[in-house]
Amino acid sequence: MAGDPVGQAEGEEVRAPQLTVEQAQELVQFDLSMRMVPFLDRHLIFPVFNFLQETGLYNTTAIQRAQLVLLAETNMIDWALETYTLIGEEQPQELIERRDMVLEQLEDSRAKVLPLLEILEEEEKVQRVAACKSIDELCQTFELDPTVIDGLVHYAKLQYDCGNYTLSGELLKHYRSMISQDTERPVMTSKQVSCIWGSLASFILNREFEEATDGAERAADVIFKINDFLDTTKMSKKEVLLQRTWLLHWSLFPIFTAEKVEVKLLDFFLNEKSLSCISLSCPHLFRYVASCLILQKRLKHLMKDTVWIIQHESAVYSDPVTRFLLALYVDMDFDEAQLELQKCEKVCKVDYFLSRHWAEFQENARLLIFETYCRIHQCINIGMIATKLNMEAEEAEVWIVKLIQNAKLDARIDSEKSRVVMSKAPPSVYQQVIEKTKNLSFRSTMLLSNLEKREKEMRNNTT
Amino acid sequence: MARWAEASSSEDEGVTQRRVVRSHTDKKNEQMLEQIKVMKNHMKIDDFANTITDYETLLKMLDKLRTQVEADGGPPKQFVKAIAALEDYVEKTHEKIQEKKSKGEKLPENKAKAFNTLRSKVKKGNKNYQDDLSQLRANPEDFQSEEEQMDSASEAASDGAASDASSSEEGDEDLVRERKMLRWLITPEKLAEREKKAEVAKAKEAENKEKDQAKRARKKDKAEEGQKGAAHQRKGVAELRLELTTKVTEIAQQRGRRGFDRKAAYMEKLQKLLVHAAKHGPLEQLYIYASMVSADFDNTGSAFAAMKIEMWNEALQKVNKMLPLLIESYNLMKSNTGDDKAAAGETDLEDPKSHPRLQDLFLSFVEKLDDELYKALQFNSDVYGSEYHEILGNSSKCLVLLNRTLRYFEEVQEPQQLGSIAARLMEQLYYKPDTLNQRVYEAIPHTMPDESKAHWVWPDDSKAYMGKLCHYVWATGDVRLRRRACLCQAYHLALHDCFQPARDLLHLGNFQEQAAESDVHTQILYNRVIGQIGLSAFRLGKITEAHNCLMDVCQYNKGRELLAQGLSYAKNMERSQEQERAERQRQLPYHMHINLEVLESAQHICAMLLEVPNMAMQAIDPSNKRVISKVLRRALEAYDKQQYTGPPETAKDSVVAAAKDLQRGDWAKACAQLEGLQLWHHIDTNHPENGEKVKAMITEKMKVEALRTYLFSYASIYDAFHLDQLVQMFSLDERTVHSTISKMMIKEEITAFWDESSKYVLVQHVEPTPLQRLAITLAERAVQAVENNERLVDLKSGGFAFKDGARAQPGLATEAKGKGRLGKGFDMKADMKGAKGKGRGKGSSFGSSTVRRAAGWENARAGALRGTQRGWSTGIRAA
Repeated sequence: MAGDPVGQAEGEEVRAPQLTVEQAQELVQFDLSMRMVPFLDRHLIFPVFNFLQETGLYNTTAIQRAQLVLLAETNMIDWALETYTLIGEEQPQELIERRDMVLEQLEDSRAKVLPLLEILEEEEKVQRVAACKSIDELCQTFELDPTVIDGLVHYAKLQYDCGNYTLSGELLKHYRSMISQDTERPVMTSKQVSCIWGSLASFILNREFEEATDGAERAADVIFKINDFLDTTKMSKKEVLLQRTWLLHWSLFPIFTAEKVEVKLLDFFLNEKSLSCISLSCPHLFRYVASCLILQKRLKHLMKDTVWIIQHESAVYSDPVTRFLLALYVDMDFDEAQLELQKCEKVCKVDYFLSRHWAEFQENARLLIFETYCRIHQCINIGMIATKLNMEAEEAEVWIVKLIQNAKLDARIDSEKSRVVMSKAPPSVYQQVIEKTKNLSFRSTMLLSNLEKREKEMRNNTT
Repeated sequence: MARWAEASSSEDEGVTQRRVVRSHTDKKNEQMLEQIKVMKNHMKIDDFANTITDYETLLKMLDKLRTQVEADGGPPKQFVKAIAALEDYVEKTHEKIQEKKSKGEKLPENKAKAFNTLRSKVKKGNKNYQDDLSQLRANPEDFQSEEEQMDSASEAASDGAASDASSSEEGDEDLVRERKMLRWLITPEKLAEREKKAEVAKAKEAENKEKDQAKRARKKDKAEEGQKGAAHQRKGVAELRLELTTKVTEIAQQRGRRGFDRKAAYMEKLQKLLVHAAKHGPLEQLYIYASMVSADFDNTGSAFAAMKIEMWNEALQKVNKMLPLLIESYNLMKSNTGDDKAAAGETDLEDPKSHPRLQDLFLSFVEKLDDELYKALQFNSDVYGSEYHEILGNSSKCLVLLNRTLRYFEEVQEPQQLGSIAARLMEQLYYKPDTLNQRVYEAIPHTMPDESKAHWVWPDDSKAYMGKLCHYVWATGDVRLRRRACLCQAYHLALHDCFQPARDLLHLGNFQEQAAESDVHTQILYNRVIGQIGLSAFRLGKITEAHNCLMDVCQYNKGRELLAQGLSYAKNMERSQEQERAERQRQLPYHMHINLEVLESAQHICAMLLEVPNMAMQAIDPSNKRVISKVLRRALEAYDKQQYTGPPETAKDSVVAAAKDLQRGDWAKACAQLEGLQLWHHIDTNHPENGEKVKAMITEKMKVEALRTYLFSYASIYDAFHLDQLVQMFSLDERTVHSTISKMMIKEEITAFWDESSKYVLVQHVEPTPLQRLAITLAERAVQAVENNERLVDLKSGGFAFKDGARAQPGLATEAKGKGRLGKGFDMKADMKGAKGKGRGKGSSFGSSTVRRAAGWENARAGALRGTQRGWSTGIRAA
């Protein structure tokens, strides 16, 4: 799908406007884009490049050049031409010629599928399409040539190449719904698979992540579909692994760029299969695994095991984000955790997916530190916790007060000695007894009902 | 005298060997011809008496041949001619006698009498064949020509028959030879190949027949020409070549016959031919060398006796000479075959000295050499003797050969052969640490010519080199070779402290499962890999992992057997002779052994580090029933029972004594106990000086575990500990102590908290009141009662579904809490428990492995990740 078109961008690292060379060099070690692009679609790389341009990590022209290489394979000629002017180079003639060619192609293929497009424009006919049981039936109802249906895919691909993601996504949706109704072909063909990937790319580029009210498809749905497909497919294991790796990379878009993340998507990203994929083929994704754990509070139940896996793979991949978790949960070293958290800021700064989450990230990370700290201390000096959390003492106090108010913390502040006293009660015996005997009555009822059932059976047998 | 006798006997042998199968009539005909010849001779010397008997026998013979005579419509021409000649002779002699008589000379009486009888007999006998005789006299040319034809034909026939027989024999022998040569090629492909070859040989046989005849004719020519002299110059090169081949084949056929003298007759003859062969290009020479090497390998097929090392060296020299020739021939072939490559390939297969066939042969020689060397090392009982060292010294020669062969096949790009050679090379290299391999590679160039010295640099990244070889092996597609190659690679990785990659390799390949279904040798290799991975984990301080691996290997004192490093001597086990033979056959040569003492010491130290705090923890929390190392527990019990404890004698004793000290929290004394262990010198074979580092690392671990044990044991007595006090006691840095205690708090192993300055550990003493304690006990009893009731109902009703559910529930709840995301864990665990039993018999006693349902890379990895929590490699553990 996507090659590695950005070889030359890395080489020329020149002073960017707002960064010194040293800073840039320090930051560039946290930049994962070079490791990610091989697994992304051409079009998905553009937003990443845009972001890199903003950070000023690399020379702007170098990025634009890389972009040009990328654009060369797409049909977004206008953009390519613009980029040429931006870097102050002459627009190559063949590109201008190709532009006409592309337009022509578009026109051609549009003409081919026009009858179908017209049908799809009308609400009422779309419903009739949905009623059709098979492609043949569909063709008969609307007097269509069967090749038109396939032409639709071609047209969608062309539109996608031109950057018209909305349209291509729409078209592919129609195509897939038509095909999936076809009961004669229950198995996914390779064409359908590429269609579904195309849909996903279109959704991602369109930012259609939000939960739709009308039950329309979203990126997450497509991701699950592909996931299911990969579960059942008969492709070679190597191929499955590759596609899974793609899927994991692509799913970063909905997870980190959407406003609200779907729980199922996170579950998918953090399930065992995905994690083993990550450790096999793309350990750099552990950064995002760790980030998910930090950012999403409801994933706390996964923390212990996932941290364990991250520790296990720390020889293969480690960066400030993962090290933060390890310091906090494996070594219980709060100073170390604090240091790593500071470095995490830099990481987030140069990471396309994490950059917008820094504030949240920091807040959550602090909370994690504080929580752990509370668990093993009877009383906490506010000044000390402030340094551990990289805060001012005042600020820390306010923060803790808020926590106590929100009932997240069972503690009282002793302002005279400026410390927080935990109200730790040993596990009460009462609680223990309750725990132990809680299900006894249920079990006894079960026992009784079983006995009755047995008696009934015996009676039936005798009569 | 003796030599003469030998020679003649072998000649006789040769004659009798030329048994010719002929039909009855043929035989008779031949006898008759013989008789005619004899008669003619007698006629020449005027031996009338004998001539009579000859004549009579001749007639008798014809009588026996009557059926054929009738079929032919008359007696054979030679016969007619012979009797005609006899008649003429008799008449002539009669005339002469009459003449002489008239002159007054007289024959001796007995002679005259004999002649008279002859004359009358001939007259009387020939009367029966009057017609034939008159016919002969009428047109003698007819008879003449026919007779000559007959003569030559009969000669040809006999010749043909002879060559027929010999060539068919030759075909057979070819087969036999091939079979012999290929005996050590066990792989199924090779089998298939062999079958193919057999077919080819059959086809070849037919061809050979023709060739043989042609060449015989030519030989005759040559003989004639030789008489004339100066024939050699005129002969074509092609003919010479063919002749050479014939000669070699002929000589080669002597192999395997009784009284075959390898050295004198065979080798010398072939050596001489080699000079001639040099003129005809590499293939001819290769062919001769191949014949010689095959002879070298004769009588080495025994499973328990290796080739003599002198013989081995001789063969090695020849094989070494073959390689440049092979390269030469390859280059020739490459330059020759451009257009008619396909056609050439077709014919090549049928030719015994075609390039591919010789190449295969060469490969099998190389493999055989390797095998023999291995065997020599394997069955040499005196491992410290000079002989063993000498043999070991020769292994570098084998290494050279393998390396050169590898390069050749790399160039030729034959994946199959390349793979098998790569596998051989891997087996030679994998168990040696880098430093050793490097030294070997440094030593080798001294014996080499300058131009090839560049090849003898041990690669800096030996792991990558092994990886490359492994890739070659994978290209062959042979399952067994692949497995072995991967295991070798894993071993090599583990040997060089690459614990994680080695373990990943093992898991991704799903070797636990595969090992169970492999042959014994591969299972041994798997066990070795597990042991080595355990040692590497130990060096890296991954105590839990190390313990899991090492326990698998060392448990139940089976290490020796599992690693094939000596015969097992279980007391109550009787082995049949066969079992013992099999066991002897799979022993590893001494220089490949993993030091068992090191393995065991490392295992005991791991067990100590894990078990001592565990036992201390159990003392305060009786609900925890986990046993980490039974061996250590038993040893500790035994230690306690001793009336008088002497100083430790064995490595195990030292560790047990150290464990005892550790239980008291006395880390310094415990470390002192371990000071003198051999382990530290041998733990890192690559860099022995690293032993000190490992020791220091273990000392640190001991301190931490001592701290934990101390806290478990004495927390109930103290209200608070000061951090500095603990730091001083265990001479650990503050951070480690803090981290260790924090971890214990988080895991709720102790009920204690830090105060605000993080300097004091405040221990909370939760002493329930008597009433509370009673309440808890009551609750427990109630639970027990319900459980008992359930069990009763189960028993009566034959098990209801709720049994599992109910009993699993509490378990599952904790499981889910503990494992969180791995909620499914319960089922998995049940699966993991299903370790197969370990048979005590011969073959199956190795490497039964944990059954893991979830196959494939995805789950394999998942399993690997989850593994360590539950002992990821229960690989060879016996159930």
